[in-house]
Amino acid sequence: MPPPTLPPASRSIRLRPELGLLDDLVAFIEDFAEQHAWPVPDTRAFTLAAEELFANTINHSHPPATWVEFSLAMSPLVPDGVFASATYADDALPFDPTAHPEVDTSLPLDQRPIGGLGIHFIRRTMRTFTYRRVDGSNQIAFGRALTQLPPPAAS
Amino acid sequence: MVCFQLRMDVSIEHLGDLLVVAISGRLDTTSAPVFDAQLAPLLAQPRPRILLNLEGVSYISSAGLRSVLQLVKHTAAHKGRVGMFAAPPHIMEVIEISGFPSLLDVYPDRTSALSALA
Repeated sequence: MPPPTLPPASRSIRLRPELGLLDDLVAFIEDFAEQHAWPVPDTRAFTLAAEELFANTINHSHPPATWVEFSLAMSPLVPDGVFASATYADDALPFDPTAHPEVDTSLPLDQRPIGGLGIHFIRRTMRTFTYRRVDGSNQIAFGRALTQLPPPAAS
Repeated sequence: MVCFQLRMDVSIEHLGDLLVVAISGRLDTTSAPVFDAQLAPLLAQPRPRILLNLEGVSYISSAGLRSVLQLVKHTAAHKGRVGMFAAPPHIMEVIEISGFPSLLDVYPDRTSALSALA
């Protein structure tokens, strides 16, 4: 079975890392997902991952980052299927979330830290999760196969 | 159209000493501090029993779970527990990934929750 024919599928958004712009990031992902008929579980997973990274940038970058760029792309999988991928970049000081210690979700209540779940979500919901430091920016890539094929592109 | 809700609403119901908190919409980085602020006056006094109605929650992130964890810690400090019911499957999935089911009581619906807590 040949790989599915897909429309050009890559788009980016550049934002200031401000809490009030989270809705813009969510809307960007929803629009892309709707355009490419993503299954809802995949849209939710990418929204969650993007929000967690955006919140990290806002809450933990010192000195504060001045920009965030988020990109979504799709590529065919062989022999079938579609792989959706995202790249999240910011100009914060180096921070490698893939090196962050695993959260122990079995800890009893009195030992449970309040934070740390965001990166755990990405690890659990994505197939790939990588980090690079490039030209003074953090570049975090993650992705997963879509849970079902989108319908054929309209001609 | 996926059409995630971008706002969050909270309604509070007092059933004796049981606080039933119904959340709808998105409990995320933006709305979780609003949720915390709405609950703060109620948590100024001991609330050992809190029940969360998650039926209307469309999305939850770690910020939302942090708010829930604060409620769990509040009730535990007063020798109580938090219960939750009616979480949609995709919300339950996030809750399970977080390991939260061991920290609170999970009920399928309001009737079973209220009868267990009667």
